[in-house]
Amino acid sequence: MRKLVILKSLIDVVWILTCIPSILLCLFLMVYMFVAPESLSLFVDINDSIFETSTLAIQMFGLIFIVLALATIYCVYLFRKTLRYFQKVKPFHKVVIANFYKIGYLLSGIGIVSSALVFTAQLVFKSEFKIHLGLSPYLMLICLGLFFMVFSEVFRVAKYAKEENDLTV
Amino acid sequence: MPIVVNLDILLAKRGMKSYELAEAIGITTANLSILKTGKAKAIRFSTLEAICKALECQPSDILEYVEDES
Repeated sequence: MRKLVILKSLIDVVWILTCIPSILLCLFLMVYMFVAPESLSLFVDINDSIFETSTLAIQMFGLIFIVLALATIYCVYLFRKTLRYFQKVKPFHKVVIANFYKIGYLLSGIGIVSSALVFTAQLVFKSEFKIHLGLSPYLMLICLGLFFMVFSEVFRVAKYAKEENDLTV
Repeated sequence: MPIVVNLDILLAKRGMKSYELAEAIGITTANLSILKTGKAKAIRFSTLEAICKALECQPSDILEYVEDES
């Protein structure tokens, strides 16, 4: 159980130091990028000339990326909540199974949308047609999402087995 | 569940209390209650053997198959 304590502490640190400030930053940026579109150049590597010609498109891309970032933070929140159930020694609780499935679904979705968005952004703004066939962070995200979904299924089966074991006299 | 556990009837016939049987066969009263109320999903041969021994009966006296109407 020491590993669980270490994991929970790490996630807590990430949550407090990274996720909470990120939520505030995302919300601020969500509004500020419509007031001053140049602020997006802090995060997106594109020329100033593109900002002048297609500001609305960049803002839309920025908006989608912020929503994806918020969804990722929500995944961390769900994982943190799930770890609390592990600490209470309730690993087969229905909330744990539901959370794992939700995290998996969200991470896969974020991975797919992000890769599509990066591909489109490169095509639209840089006129580059790039397909990464190697290991990319988006692919890893999709794999992680699918892993969580499989994990959820495993826990569902384990819960059934545990219930059956508990009701065997 | 079409399998009915007739433990109540047997206990009444023998004039035995639930906790006495639980003690005799070495299971908790909570588990015996699960068995009596028909919530149990399975029964171990060792438990069945112990019940038969304690109540001096056959497994068929305890378990009965009743066809489900629904």
